[in-house]
Order: sequence, then structure tokens, then C-alpha cells
Amino acid sequence: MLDPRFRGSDIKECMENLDQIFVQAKRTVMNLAESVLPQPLVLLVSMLISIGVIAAIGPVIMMYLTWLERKVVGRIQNRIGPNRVGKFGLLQPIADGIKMLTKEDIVPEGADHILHFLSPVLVVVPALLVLGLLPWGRNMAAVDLQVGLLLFFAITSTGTLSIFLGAWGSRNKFSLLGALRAVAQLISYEIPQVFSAVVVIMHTQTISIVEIVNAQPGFNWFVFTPWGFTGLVLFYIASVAECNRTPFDLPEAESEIVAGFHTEYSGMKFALFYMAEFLQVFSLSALAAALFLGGWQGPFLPSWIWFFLKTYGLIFIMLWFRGTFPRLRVDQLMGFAWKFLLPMSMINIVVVGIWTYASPIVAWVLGILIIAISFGVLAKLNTRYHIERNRKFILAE
Amino acid sequence: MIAAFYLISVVLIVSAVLAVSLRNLIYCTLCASVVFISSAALFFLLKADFIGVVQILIYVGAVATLLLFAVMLTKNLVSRQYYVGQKRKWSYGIFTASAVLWVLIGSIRSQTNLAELVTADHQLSVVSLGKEMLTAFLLPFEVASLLLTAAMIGGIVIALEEKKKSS
Repeated sequence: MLDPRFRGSDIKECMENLDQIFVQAKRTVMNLAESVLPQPLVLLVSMLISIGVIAAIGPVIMMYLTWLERKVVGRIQNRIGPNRVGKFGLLQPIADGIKMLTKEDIVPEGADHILHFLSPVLVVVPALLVLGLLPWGRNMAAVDLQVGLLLFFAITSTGTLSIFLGAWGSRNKFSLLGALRAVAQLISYEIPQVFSAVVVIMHTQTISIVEIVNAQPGFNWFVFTPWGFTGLVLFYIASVAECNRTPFDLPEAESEIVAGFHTEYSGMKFALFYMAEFLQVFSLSALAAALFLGGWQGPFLPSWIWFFLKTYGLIFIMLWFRGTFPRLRVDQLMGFAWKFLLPMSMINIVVVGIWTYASPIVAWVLGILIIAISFGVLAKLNTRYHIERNRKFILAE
Repeated sequence: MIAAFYLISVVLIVSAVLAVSLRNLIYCTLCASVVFISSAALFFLLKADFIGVVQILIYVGAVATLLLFAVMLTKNLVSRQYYVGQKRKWSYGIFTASAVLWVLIGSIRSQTNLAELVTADHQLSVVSLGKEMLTAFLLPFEVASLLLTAAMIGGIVIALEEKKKSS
């Protein structure tokens, strides 16, 4: 019989090994490379391993997000979703990929060929780049920059440009309408998104994503504080808008403007736009998890499993949004960003300032009070019309 | 390091020349954003991470998009050919260029240990940058923010007047 204490430590050790399994794998390869290659080449190998893993994991994440989305939305609409290719339709994304690759690449006659070609390429680059900044687990960030969080926002902000170029290059009115909406929306929602992340920077006094995750050990996630919870909700809503997803999918509203900025794209170029969108869904969910939900921090399970659990939890909520909410109007969309999210995120900054300098009890009470009152006031100010209390609904017969 | 510097510089200069000489305004904007990105790369090369990131965030993320909007609001962009600097007033150009060159040479000459500064292995920390900004350089910082606020209010006022006329 095994001694229970021994078994406990055994499991712990096993978990620790599992936790660092990818780090160990890379170290093994690096040791092998060091014994064979000269020093400068070893550095190159180290870089190539990280780049290769990220470049490979991006498309895989995207492919299975399409599968997940179709399955989840299918269940919400009382359907089964893809179920023919492979078990549970698991091979469906691969079939789709082959279909996309073999489709004809149509370029409109009046299109600007260079821009039309460049746009889908440029749109994928930032989406893949930011994956390198994410902390995938303990010791598992490809690069730990001092200014990581800021670089993340900088890289994602360049996506606007490529969307616009593609739409302009297509020479199509629906594309241009979609791009106009996209630019207005992305610029507007970037501001509350960055402002709601500022609270974390203020509290942790660092802009490195890895350091921010390190500042939330165990269950000390920022979401369990008043400003953290508000920050997460604001950041998450702004992120949904940044990804152009329902209910903020005006740039590609299929019932109004065909497919928005990617109307004139087919085949693999279309797939690249989708890839960028899904990768952005993933990376912004992962960033929200890292900023407010403690990233890879969590008990018992290996760190990277926690990371994926939190990220996919947030992604699931995004899919749930899609199955639930109708699309906003343009004025509602802009009003929501400028009249609600922005003031709310500014108030949140004040709350985290109080949190830093006041004693815990005062900070909790004041924080909750300020957030609740300002939420109420802002909601009241933003309500333009009132719905009658006791409305009678008469069914058409 | 040196090779990277020259590579980035060549890309920067070529795209800068293209940005002012191409006939298609959208391409000009695209080249301008390449200039912004490569100057950010130069900052990264000098280990000024923060400034490089801010360069991308502001110039590529915001200014380039603004330029595109300006281009889009230009009348008859497709049918007419626009020539950048149609009137070619060389005197203005030479004056501006020499003024900028004078300022640059002056600031470089005032640094005695320039070679040491460039090769030194120091990391510019964001914390020290922020502290300097809010203590030693508080006045320029406040003046800049005042200027930006004034510009923003001016923009709103212009937009409001147009609305009044049209209605």
C-alpha cells in the first residue's frame, strides 16, 4: 500500500511536470541545438521554435473556433450543427479549409489589384503577432516585453487600416459602407477598451502582461474587486465590438450591406479575413483573462489548462452573445461607446485610485457605491424613451 | 545591429520618397504608414521600446486612419489625377528642410558623448519616463495638452457651425 502523504506529493510533482511540459520540451530541443550548433544559430533556433509554434497554433485555433461557433450557435437555435464530417463534425474545419483553398479567387474588374491583394494579408499579420505577447502559461510567453500590454493595443489598432484598404480596393459601395462603419466603430471602442485596461496598469504599476498575471497569484484575481469586475465587463464589451461580432457586427451586417468590407472577397482571401477575426476573438479573450481573471493563475490544474479554460469561457460568452442579441443601430452603437462605456471606464479609474490609498473596508464600500450610483445615473441619462410598465401583448390569431 | 539599422533606414527613406511622389493618394497614405512603422522599428533598435510602441499606436493606429479619411473626403478622387505639390514652390521646401536640418544638427552637436549614448546598453523604463514627464518636463507636457484641447474644441466648433448652416 502506498503512503497517502507520498501519493499526495507524487501527484503534486506530476502536476508540476505537466505544468512545465512545453517549457521542458523547448529546453530539450535547445540543449540538443546547443550541443550541435554555434551560439548565434542557437538563438535563431530558439526564436524559430517560438515563431513556429505560434504560427502553427494560430490557424488551428481559428479552424476549431469556427467549429465551436457553429456547434454552440446550432445548439442555441435547437439544431445539432456540423455532424457529417468526422465524429461530431470534428473534421468539418479541415473540409472547409480545402474548399476555401480550391475556390476561385475573384477580383472585381474595377478593383485596385494591389490593395485588394494586400488587405487580407495585412489583416492577418497583427492578429498573429499579438499571439506572441500572450502568457500561455507559467514561463510560457514567447516574449515578455516591458511594454507588452501597450504593444498589444498598438498592434491591434493597425487592423483598422487594412480593413479600410481592402474595402477601398474592392471598389464596391457595400464594401466602402462597411469600412466606414468599421473604422468609426473600431476607433470609438478602442478608447473605452484601453481606458478599462488602465485600471490594471494603475494597480499593478506595470505594463508587462506577464507581470500583471504574476500580480494575481492563486485566487487573487482582479475580477473579485469592484473596479476589476467593472473593468472586465467594460473591457469585454469593448472587445466584442473590436472583433466586429454580434451585437456590434455592423461593419459586416449581412442583412444590410451584403458582407460589409469583405463583400468582394472569395476563396482563401475571404478565409484570411475570417482567420483574422477569429484570432482576434481568441487573443482579446485571452487578454481579458490575463488582465482580470488571473491569466494562467489557478490551483491544482496545470497553468496552461487554466489559461485555455478561462479564454474559452470568455469566447463561449461571445458565442452566446451572438445567439442571443440582435444587432445595434449605428446611433445606438456610437452612443453606447461615447456616452456609457467611456464615462464608466473613467469613473472606474477614480475607483482604483481610491482603492490604492484608502483602507480596505472604506475602499470596498466607496468603490461599490461609486460604481453603482454612476451606473444608475448613466443608465438613466442614456434612456431616451420609457417602456410602459404593464404592457399588454396580444397575440395575432 | 548595424545591418538592421541600414536595412530599416533604406526602407524608411524609399517609402518616404514614394509617399510624396506617388500619384495615387491611397498609396501615398500606405507608404506613409510604412514610414511610421519603420521609424518605430528604429526606436526598437535603440531599445526605446515605449517610444516605438507609442509611435505605432498613434501614427499607424490613428494618424494613418485620419489621413485615409481625409483622402476619402477629397472630391472626385477617382476621376481626376491629383498631383502632390502641384505648384512646386521650391523655396518653401528648401526653407523648411534647412530649418529642420539646422535643428537636428544643433541638437546632435550639443550632445558631447553621442557615440557612448547610442552604444550604451540601457533600458528606458516607462516608470522613469512618466516621473520625468510629470516633474521635470511638466510645463511642456501641460502646454502640449492645452494645445490638443484647444485643437479639439476648435474642431467641434467648426463642425457645429457647418451643421447650423445646412439646417
